[in-house]
Amino acid sequence: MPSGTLGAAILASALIAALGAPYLAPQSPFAQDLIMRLRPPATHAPGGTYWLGTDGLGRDVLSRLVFGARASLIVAGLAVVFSGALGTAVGMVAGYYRGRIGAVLMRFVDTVLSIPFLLLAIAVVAVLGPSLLNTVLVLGLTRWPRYARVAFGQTLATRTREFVEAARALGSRDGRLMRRHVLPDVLPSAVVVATLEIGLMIVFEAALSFLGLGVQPPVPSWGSMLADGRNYLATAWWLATFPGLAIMLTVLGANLVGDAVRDRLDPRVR
Amino acid sequence: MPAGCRRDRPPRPRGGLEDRNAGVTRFVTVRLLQAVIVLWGVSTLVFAIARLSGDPVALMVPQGTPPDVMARMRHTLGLDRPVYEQYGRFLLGLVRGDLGTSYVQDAPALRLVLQRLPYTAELGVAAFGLALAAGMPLGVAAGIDRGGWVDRIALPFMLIGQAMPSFWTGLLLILVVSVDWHLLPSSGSGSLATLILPAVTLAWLSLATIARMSRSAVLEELDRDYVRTARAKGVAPRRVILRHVLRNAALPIITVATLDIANLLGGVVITESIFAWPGIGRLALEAIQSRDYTVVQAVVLVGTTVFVLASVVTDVLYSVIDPRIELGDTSA
Repeated sequence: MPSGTLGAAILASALIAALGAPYLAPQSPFAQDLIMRLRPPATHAPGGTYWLGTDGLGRDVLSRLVFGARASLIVAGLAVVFSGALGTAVGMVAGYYRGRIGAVLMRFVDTVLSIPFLLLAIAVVAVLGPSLLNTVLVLGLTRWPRYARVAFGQTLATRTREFVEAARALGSRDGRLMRRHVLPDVLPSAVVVATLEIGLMIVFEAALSFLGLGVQPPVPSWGSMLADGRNYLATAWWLATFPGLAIMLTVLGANLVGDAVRDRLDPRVR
Repeated sequence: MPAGCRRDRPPRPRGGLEDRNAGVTRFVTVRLLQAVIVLWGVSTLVFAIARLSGDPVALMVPQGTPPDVMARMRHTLGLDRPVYEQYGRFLLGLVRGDLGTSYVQDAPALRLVLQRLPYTAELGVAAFGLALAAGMPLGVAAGIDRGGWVDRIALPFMLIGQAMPSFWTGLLLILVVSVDWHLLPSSGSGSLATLILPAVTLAWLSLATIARMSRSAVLEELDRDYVRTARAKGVAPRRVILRHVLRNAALPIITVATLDIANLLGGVVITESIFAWPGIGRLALEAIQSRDYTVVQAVVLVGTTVFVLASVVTDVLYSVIDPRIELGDTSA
């Protein structure tokens, strides 16, 4: 099986888990059963089998894992769209007008690029406070410069092409020119960056939640489940194992798809 | 390719070595100036972020501080002044090395960060060295052996390695090495034994990235005409790799490795939190928990400065390694 297909299959499973969580999860992700605390995987109980064990509050790990896919994919998806739109817009404006506007914008891009991501994210979360929406905001506001770089380069190349000149001669305004004529040329490169970013976004969401700066409990997220499992390392190995496995597989899937998309749309880099 | 280095222009007529040295000096000056501009931009960003919430004082004091104390503080800090004046004072402070005062710990924020910086430096250098020392040979070996067994083992390893988040790697290492095998301590600092697990954790992601980049850099160079020429004229395969391919593949590998320092600095926060390592990453997290924004801000500024300086150093190293790189032309 080509690796791109494998990646797509993995991503699709994560997506199905996220969308169908209420139907797929054997139990509620919030239901606590203090008698069944910290049971190992494949524990049979009157209410059903805990295939991946239970956590410190007696909640079913499998169910929380399935519901955790939601936080992961929602945040990663929204953050990619947000940062992609922002970065592409900035890059296109900089490339289209060039000159002073372009220089200032691209300097700003360099500035944001030179702040270590997690440090910037921490500074923003420290001010705004942690929540799902703020996680999207933080990721979106810190990850856009790569799109800006790509869109800038592509716009510089496209703006001098004949069809753009022709449209301008026919009286098209700048905004329309950029939307109708430049954007279609910029989009494929932006999509390549976006597919490569999805995996990173999933990791970053999990990292922020792991540090307690992302999605807040009791909402299940893979990162916060790992943080939770950290407290039981010596007694309950499954708590720190399965959420990590879920993150790794999803990111692997996203990366494989990203590589495949890049190879198809951008044959120069390999 | 780093900012300021361009290879797509026709080479300037070359003078002697003296000309080149003058070029290097000018290049370094320009890069340092650019670094200052970037740092100014970052501090402006930090200044703006602190005001996103409306009241910076609320971020600087412990929860439950009486309102009259906060009002007095607002006045002492000049927060009742117009924003441009606050901004001016903030920048002046930075120039003098004053990153504000931590009201939680009652000490200058910069001093608190600098106290912790050596620990982070130790961890970072160990991890970066490990990532380079293991990642490069792995990637190069896989690239040379394209499709062979080294490549077939290394490639999945790199793909999986890149998908493993460091906070999970760290927990697994503790689980296996510390809990199961009782081999190495899971926290603490000050000895080689305590350094190993955090360094491996922090190096993990960079190692996979560097290995993968080394592999594709080698593959790209192997396709070039000069390799075919060298082989056709009977140069020994070993020599082709060592003298020709590796020399040319070195540049992209170095670029990726340096860019990865930023990821490393971010990963520091996570690694330090897992292993209770007393560096600046953990300081930042502690500061968030105790609502000590001045310290968070100081960590961001110091961390960024380290990264920006590191990238200036690489750019300069670059220009020394590769004489084809045109110096001094930094127009955007």
